[in-house]
Amino acid sequence: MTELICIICPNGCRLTVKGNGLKVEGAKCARGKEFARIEIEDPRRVLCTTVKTVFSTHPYLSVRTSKEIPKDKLMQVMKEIKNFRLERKVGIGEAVIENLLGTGADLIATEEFIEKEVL
Amino acid sequence: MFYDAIIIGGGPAGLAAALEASKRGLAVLLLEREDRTGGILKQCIHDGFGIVRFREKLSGPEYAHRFSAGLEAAGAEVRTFTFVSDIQECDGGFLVTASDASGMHEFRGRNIVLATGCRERTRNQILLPGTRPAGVYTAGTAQYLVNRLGLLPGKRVVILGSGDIGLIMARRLTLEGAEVIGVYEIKNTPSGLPRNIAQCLLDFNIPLHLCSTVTEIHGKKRIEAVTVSKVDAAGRKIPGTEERIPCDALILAVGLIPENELGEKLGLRIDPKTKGPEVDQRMMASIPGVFAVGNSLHVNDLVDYVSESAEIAARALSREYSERKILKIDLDPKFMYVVPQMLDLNAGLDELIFYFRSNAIYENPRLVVSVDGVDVWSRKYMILQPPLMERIKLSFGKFGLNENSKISFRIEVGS
Repeated sequence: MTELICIICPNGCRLTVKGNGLKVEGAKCARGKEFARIEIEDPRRVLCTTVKTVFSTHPYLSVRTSKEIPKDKLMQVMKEIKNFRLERKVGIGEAVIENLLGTGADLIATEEFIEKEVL
Repeated sequence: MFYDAIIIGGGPAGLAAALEASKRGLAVLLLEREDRTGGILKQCIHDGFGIVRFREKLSGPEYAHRFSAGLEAAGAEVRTFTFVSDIQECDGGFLVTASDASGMHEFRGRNIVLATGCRERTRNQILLPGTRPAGVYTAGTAQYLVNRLGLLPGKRVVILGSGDIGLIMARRLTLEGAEVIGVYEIKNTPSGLPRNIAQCLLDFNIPLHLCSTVTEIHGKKRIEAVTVSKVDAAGRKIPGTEERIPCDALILAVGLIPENELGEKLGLRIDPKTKGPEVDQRMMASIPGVFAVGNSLHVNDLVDYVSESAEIAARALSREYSERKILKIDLDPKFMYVVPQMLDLNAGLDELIFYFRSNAIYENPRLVVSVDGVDVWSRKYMILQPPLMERIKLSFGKFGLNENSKISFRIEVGS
């Protein structure tokens, strides 16, 4: 039996997963049940971070992965992102790095560039 | 120019109010003191915003963009780098004094929407003893340094307080290569959401120490260590439990206080529990034409409800208001607070949104609403606890309320 806290929504249901059939108890919704099964077999997370840019008005741009990536790859992916420098202005939702470390997820911009100089 | 509404603050509350009011054809001026709108969401790069509203897990900047993108097209005038220093009542409305790079300006409007958000508590508010070295940050400052400026506030970090911002920063600093030694919480339960305990602490093996707090800060120029101690049920430190923990940064995530200097100066009645203005069902404060929304009204857990409160106010904005007939809502002491605190019987009384928190943890309680001593509505909860804000929708139109009516909210525990 494994105990988990669901991270799908702010309810934070306490889940218990039993046996080989992965019977899930405690979830208020179907998404919670699915979360528990995936969490046991292949835990995944969305990674949110920033990338360095070459633009002085906006030296760091906030980004996230377009979908969940394997949890055990988070630190490795962070290392990859740290070595990256963004040299073109992208719009919100646009890919900054495609297929990040072969995870199938893109790293996408989550904000617009600031155009004007900050005082 | 005489605006229908002048909105103070361009964070999620101000953006939602400005967008909704502009869409309704009102002449709106939004004043923001920073370089662009978005408020605290600009630095909240983690996801989880908008789950209730958009059924998506957006990052903070993405959530803000959903509102800011269409704002000018909807007709709102947005002035950034503009700092409001004063609001006064004037003929037919309000006079707002603000400064920007070009000097002082005066703006006039029929309505004011206070969307000024909140401020973080610092070591002064929690009376943290010790020296005053560099390296002691509020969680929001640390978040600004890491996410906007790309600077790491420390390499061996202690976090005091288990509110959501502290938990989010524990994860963020770990991802950026710092060692987070532990999160210390004076209470016996964490303040943050369970999902953040899971995905920010458990995921990265960061220890959470309950009933523990920082009792001294050490270091001359730069922080060198903190002393942490266990505390008893009353929050007093237990002698003999002290432990010295070397660190180069201490991050304080010890709560938020609504920022209401402008409203206080204007003479608004402030609720001592929420630290925000008392409002009616339209979010209208004690002075007609002044509205308080978002975190300046009360500290919210979810931005979705910040936007909602702002839109409730925006929908109520008008050029004329009939005289108010105020009925205060009666609360039992098991509530920390309920917002709105009062009803205007001359305004709409159906489908009203109430936000509340209990003052302690209650298992299997029942929330009961009564009118003139008759129970008219109730709901069972699995648990009510101070860190989780609850929201309910109630209608009072059918009760024929008058100024002598009595509306009471109570929490019943046990059968």
